[in-house]
Amino acid sequence: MSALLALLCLSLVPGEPARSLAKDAFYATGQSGSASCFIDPEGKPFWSFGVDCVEPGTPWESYKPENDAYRAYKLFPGAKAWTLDTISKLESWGFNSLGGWSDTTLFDRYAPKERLPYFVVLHLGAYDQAPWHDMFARQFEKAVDDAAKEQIPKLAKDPKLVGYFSDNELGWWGDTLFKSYFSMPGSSPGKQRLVKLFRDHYSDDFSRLREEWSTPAKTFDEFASTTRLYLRAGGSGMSVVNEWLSMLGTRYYSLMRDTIRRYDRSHLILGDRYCQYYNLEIAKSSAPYIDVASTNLGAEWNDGSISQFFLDTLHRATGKPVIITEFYLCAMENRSGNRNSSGGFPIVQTQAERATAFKKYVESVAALPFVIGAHWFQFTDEPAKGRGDGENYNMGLLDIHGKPYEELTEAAAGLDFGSLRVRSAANPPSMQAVPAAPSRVMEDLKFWPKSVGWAPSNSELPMANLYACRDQNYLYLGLFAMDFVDESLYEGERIPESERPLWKIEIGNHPIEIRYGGSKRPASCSDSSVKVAELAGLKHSVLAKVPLPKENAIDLASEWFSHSRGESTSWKVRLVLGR
Amino acid sequence: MILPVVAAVLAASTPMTATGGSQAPTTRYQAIERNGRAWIVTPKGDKLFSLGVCVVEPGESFADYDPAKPGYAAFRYYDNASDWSKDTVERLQRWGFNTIGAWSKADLLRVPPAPKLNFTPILHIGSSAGAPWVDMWEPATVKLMDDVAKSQILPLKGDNRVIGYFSDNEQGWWYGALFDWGWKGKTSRHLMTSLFRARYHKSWSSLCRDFVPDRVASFDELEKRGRLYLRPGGNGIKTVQAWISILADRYYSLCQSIIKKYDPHALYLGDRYISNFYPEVAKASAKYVDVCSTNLNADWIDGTFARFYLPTLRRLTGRPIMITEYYACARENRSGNKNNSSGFPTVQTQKDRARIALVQTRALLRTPYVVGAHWFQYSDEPTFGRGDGENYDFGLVDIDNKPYEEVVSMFAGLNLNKEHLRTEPAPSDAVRGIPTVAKACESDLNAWPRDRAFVPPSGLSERGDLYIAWSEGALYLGVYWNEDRFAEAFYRDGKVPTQEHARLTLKIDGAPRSLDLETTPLAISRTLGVRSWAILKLPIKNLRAGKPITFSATVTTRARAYATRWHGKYTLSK
Repeated sequence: MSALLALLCLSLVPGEPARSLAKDAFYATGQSGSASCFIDPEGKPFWSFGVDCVEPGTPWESYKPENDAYRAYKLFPGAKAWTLDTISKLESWGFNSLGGWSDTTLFDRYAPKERLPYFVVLHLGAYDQAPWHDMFARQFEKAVDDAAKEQIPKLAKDPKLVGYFSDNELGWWGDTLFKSYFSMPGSSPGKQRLVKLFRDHYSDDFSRLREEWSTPAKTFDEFASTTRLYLRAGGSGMSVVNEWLSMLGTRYYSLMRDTIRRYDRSHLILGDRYCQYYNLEIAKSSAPYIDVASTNLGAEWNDGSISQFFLDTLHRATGKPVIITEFYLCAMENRSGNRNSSGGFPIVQTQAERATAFKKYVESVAALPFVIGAHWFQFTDEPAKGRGDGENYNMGLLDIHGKPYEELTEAAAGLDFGSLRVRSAANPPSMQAVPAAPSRVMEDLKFWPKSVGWAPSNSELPMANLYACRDQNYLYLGLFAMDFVDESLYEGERIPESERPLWKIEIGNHPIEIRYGGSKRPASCSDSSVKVAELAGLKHSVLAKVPLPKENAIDLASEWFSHSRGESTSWKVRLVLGR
Repeated sequence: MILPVVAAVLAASTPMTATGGSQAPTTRYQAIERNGRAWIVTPKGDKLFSLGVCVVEPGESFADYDPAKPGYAAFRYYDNASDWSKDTVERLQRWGFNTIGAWSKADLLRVPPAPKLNFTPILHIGSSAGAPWVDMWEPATVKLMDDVAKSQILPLKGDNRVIGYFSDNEQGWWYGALFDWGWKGKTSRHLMTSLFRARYHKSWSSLCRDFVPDRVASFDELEKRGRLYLRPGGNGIKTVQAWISILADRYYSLCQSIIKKYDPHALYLGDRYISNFYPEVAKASAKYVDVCSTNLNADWIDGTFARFYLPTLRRLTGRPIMITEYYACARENRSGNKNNSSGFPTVQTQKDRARIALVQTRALLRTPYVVGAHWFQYSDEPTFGRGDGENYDFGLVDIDNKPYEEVVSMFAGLNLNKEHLRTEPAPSDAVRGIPTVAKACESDLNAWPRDRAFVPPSGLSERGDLYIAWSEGALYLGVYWNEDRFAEAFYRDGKVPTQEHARLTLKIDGAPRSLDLETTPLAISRTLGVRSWAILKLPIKNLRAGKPITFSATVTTRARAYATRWHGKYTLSK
């Protein structure tokens, strides 16, 4: 394509559907009604309902009979038959694109006309272990460029390619990354930048730094060569960590964009597929360099429901449409012998429950106006005894024998994206009156009525959800907050009490403070009349049981602070108790 | 022979010197000669005649397999690769084979326990780097060759069943093309110029008697630019041959040192000539290879080989010889192979095929200096041919994995070591009387009684055989000879001039005649190519049984590169 045409494609303004009829136009993003969408090369809106890992399964060369697995070579006379059959299966189930790690070479070779639009995971940073190796080093730039040069030029002209993910599930673990760069040798470009950040932040005043940080270094020069640094309690040192993450993210995303654009001026750049979690500073830093934000996101609860803040905040932090690049649901009753035991994916008992949860998940994400696609992970079940890394889940549309799970595929085929997208313009449901508590209310948020019991936050970028429900005697408040804590950020590898994540609740004039987090420490509460339960995790659930106020309606103010007050979310809501 | 001046340049520019015979570490296997027989000796001390199979590999992958163009594809018959290798190794051993030849999937075949199976992998050291068609004195070329060998040899380290390695397959030792390419390399140009200075005693005018200079008028200029073409009628080919000797010496010394660097205990098994060796190249290899290897496409449809081929290769190299590919195909095959993309021996039925395979195998087993014979190949080629169109019924098994019982039972019935100790009775020749031929023989040497018609050469035949026969009113000569593939590249206008054609000088009971083998109307049939042949019909009156014929003949190949002579007095037989 000519440079001029490339520029035309690049200059598509979000909100204006592409009208370019250039025969080598590519996918773009735009609006359809009030909802975001991809715009296909013919100018039509496109919502990507895709499948990951659409490929022929375990190769003959490496198959071991002791671990049965999907093998197209046992099922089809040749790859062409597999390719055509697979396209017809996916299309009949309503899927319209191939997600990450699909064998697009086979589709290109055997079905050049029939093939589906596809997405490519480039793993550019992973070639040099990003973000853990020094991303400011020349060596990193070169590794990224080599990886791009090898993969991109042959794709750059393909109108069926929707766009590129620069990586998958990079380890954006804030505290740990900060510590890791601080531990690099003083001569490394990454450490030098980090030291400069400290100098700037504390206006070259080392004593100010030492008020907030504990280090044996006495000067900035010594600081450059030491690897010992701990965040002190009570200060605002966490803002340096956040600034550093922002610099790291800017470095990563700008390098990805520059490198991809060196070989392809046109295709969409689709982020790096967060892993069920993102660091807010990293997500914010990606905004100028990506066209679409991407995240892998399994249902938070096994009924297929998700947490409201996660996608919403990702969208607002980046200002970009969002694509879900992996989602999962697995059933114990499966035909592949998958034990579903190696990790943390949502699991239900039967295939019928799996299909129901699947439907609920897709409907809830498709109802979000800024979500422009969702990719099911994956085409087939994992091998009976697990993949090379042990992952052994019933994730397939097909079992390992090539037979579809019909409950699931029928649920997929029955989805009506047209009306889901129209509905997406409406405001999401929120609490009218505090709903009734479920029977096992203090066990797990999964039992809670999280749609009608959700209290919207008044923060711009909430990192937590607040839920409420009630019975005759108690008001139950539930917090679901995302925060990654690495206790080695603190002296003695133990987070001080004052630095633990904090949940403040104020009902009337009665304040309650709950602190949680830190290894093997239960949540603590300032008010002994309040019973607290918790489910620890990257997204921590904290449940509080409060005596039911006497009033018919109350004003609830609540605030949540991540560890050392790095991020915060607040709520001010009127709860109708309807007594 | 390499001239001293060039040899000195060569030695100085060689980064790795060849391992000297006396200091060479002991190899796992040895190539020995005892009581007039050559053998491979295994690490356990057993004598081995290496009966191998080439291309033992799973065939087409699932990704590539097209049912409309069927071919052998192991994924169709075996649940997994391990089942394939177990069954295949078991089959091959049951059928009497003891060696996995080139282009085999060694990483899979090494897994099943088979202590008596031996491996002879091919490395493609030269061709991967472009040698011998690139400057083999360039460090980048040498490094590429080294890397190619290293990446393949190291994974096999510790497997005591690796006899040794072939450095390449069917290298294009085409003199015309190599002489052309030589001017393109910096070091090769310098070495060629040094060679010319030495051979022509720095006299540009003597050089010009043998060569036509192009854009160059002195040795100093030749160092920098221009090139030389053969002058028709001159004797330049001898200098070209000297240059090829230098190139070949460089190639074999590099390959030998690289192989021994990564596996000092391996044998170097040569580079598998393409059923047509080049005398200077073969001679140069002798210093470096442990075994000389050649692929050998039977010259005749009955499975016999040209009479000069193996004895001459043996005399040029003095090494044990391994036949690294040989072939037989049948029109009646189950894979639908048409057997028509080139010229491999093709017979009607599988029974015929087994017979000519036996003729070849037995002849090789009974040749005292031959240490191995590798059948090409494990499976038939795809029905409609490989990528390059080759479409032959070469397989021990068809494309559906079913063995050709006639062929595999023939192999299974051989007692290799016993056969190798036997000696084939000396074949007949025209000394016992010139045979008569039927009309059918006018068009095809295959139809001749070639044993009885064979005329033994006076001295060494480097390039061909001569046959003689008669019928009433005519004497027939059958000339069979090998040529360079790109001789036209020697000449400025890109064509072989008439005076440089292959010639037959003939004197029968009278005055000598010089005939252009490529044009003479006396040839009633003829094929020109790498393997050329011509049947000449010489009308002579009064021929009758018992009449003695005295004749002498000389065949010179193109550019008078090689000459073979025959003379003697023969009697017409009945």
